[in-house]
Amino acid sequence: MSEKKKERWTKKILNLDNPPIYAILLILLVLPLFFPFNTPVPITPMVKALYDKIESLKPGDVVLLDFSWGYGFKMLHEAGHVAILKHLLSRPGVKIVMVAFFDATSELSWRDVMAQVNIEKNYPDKKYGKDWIWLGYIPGGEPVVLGFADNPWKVAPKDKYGTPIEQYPDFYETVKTGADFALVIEGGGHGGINGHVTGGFLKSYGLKYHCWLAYNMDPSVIAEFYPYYPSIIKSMLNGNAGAAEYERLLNTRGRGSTMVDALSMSHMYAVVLIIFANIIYIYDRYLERKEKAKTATRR
Amino acid sequence: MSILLYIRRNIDRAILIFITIFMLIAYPLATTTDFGKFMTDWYTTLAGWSTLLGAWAIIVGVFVIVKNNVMNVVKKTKDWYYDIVTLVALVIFVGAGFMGGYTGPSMRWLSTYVLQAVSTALLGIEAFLAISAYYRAYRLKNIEAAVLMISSLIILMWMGPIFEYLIPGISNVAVWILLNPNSAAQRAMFVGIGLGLIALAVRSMLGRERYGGG
Repeated sequence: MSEKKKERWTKKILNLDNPPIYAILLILLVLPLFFPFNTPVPITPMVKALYDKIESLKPGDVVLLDFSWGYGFKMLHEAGHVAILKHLLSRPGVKIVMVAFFDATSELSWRDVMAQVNIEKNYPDKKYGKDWIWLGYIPGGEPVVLGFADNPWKVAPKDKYGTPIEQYPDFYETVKTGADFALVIEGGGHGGINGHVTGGFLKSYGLKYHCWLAYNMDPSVIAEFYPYYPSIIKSMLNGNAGAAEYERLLNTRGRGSTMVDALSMSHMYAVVLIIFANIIYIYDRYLERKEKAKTATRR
Repeated sequence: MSILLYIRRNIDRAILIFITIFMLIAYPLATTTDFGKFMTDWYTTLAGWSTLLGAWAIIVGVFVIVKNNVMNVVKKTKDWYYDIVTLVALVIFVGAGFMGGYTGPSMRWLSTYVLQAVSTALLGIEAFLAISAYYRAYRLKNIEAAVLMISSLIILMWMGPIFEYLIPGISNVAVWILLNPNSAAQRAMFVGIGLGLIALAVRSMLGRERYGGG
C-alpha cells in the first residue's frame, strides 16, 4: 500500500480556506467603527480642482447638481454630495438646479442628502425658487440627458412640485442651454462612460458644450474616465475617499472621513495578502524545484 | 412591384435612415442660429419620444416576466420557488408604487429596508470575494501576470488614502498609470467600438443587418 504523499506546508498556506481570510477582513472593517483612528487624507489635485471651482463661482452663476444614483448605492455617493452641496450653499448668490436622471429611487437619494444638509435650518437665507430648485427624477436616460442639455426647460418645463420654471426667472432667464451652467456635477458614474446617464453628461456637457464638468463617482469605474481627465472632465471624487478629501477641504468631518478608516484598513490588508501569498508562492516553487532535483539524483 | 408595396415593405428602414441622419446632423448643432434651434427643438422632442417608448417597453417587460415566471411555477421547472420570490417582489413593489408614488412612505420603507439593505449586502459580499481573489489569483507566474499584479498593487495603494503617507509619491505613480497606459489602451478601444457602431448603423440602413425594425 502506497503511503499518501504529505502536502508541503507552503501548499497548505496557499490553499488556505476562505473563512480565516474573511474573518480578518471583517475584524479590520469593524474595528474602525469602534476605535476610529482618523486616517490622514491627502488632498489630490482631482478633488481640489472642484473645491477651487466652487470657490471661484460668482453671484448669479447657476450650477447643475445631478443626483443620478440608485438608492442602493447611497453609501458610495451620499457623503460626497453632502459635502459639495454644503459648499455650494455657502457661496453667496450661487444658484443650484438639482435633478436626477437615473431611476425613481434617485429621488430618495436626494431626500437623504437634503435631510443631512438641512437647508431650512443651516442656510436660512437660501430660498427655494430663488437660490435652488429641484426638478425631481426625469425618466428617459441618455436621450433625455442630451435633450436637457440642449433645451433644459423644454425637457423639464415644471419643477418637482408642478410650478412652471418661468416663475423662477433667476433660472429661466439665465439658463437657455447647457452652456449656461457655470458648473455641472454628475453623481453616480454608473455603467462607466457608456452608462445611460453618465455617458449623456459626458457627450452633452463635456464634449458638446465644454462645461466645467465634475463627477462624484463610483470608484469601481473611475479608471474608465481617465482618458477624459483633465481635458474634458475637470474633477472626479473617488467615492468615499474623494468625499473625505472634500470634507477635509471644508474643515468638517462627515461620513466620508468615517468610512475612509475602513477603506484604508481593507486596502492595506489586500496589499499585505498579495505580497504574502507571492512570497509563499515563490518559496513553494523553490521547494518544488529542490524536491525534483533530489528525486532525479536518487534515480 | 408597385411603389406602395415597396414603401410598405421598406417603411421601417426608411424611418431608421431618416432618424439616424437627423440625429447625426442635429447633435452637434448649437442653438445660436434659427436652424440650430429648430433642429435641437426636434432633437429634444424625439428624445422625449424615447421616454414613451421606454415606458411601453417596461409594460412589455413586466408582462414577459410575469408570464415566464408563472409558467415556471406551474410547470415546476428547476428552482421554480425562486420564481415565486420574483413574482411576490414584483407585486409588492408595484403595489407600493401605486399606493403612494415612488417617493411615498411604503416605497420609502421598501427602498430603505429591502433595496438598500440588499444592495449594501451585495457590495459587501463583493469585498470578501475580491479579497479571496487577491490571495489566490495574483501570482507571479510570468511577466504578464507580474505587470498586472504590480499595477493592481499600485492602484490599490492609491485607492487607500493611508498609503500616500506610508509610501510618499505612490499616488503620482498610480495617476501616471491611469493617465498613460490605461488611457492609451482605452482610447484605442473606444475608437474601435465607435468604428464598429458606425459600420453596424450603415449595415442596418442598407438592410444587411437585423435591427429593431426587423
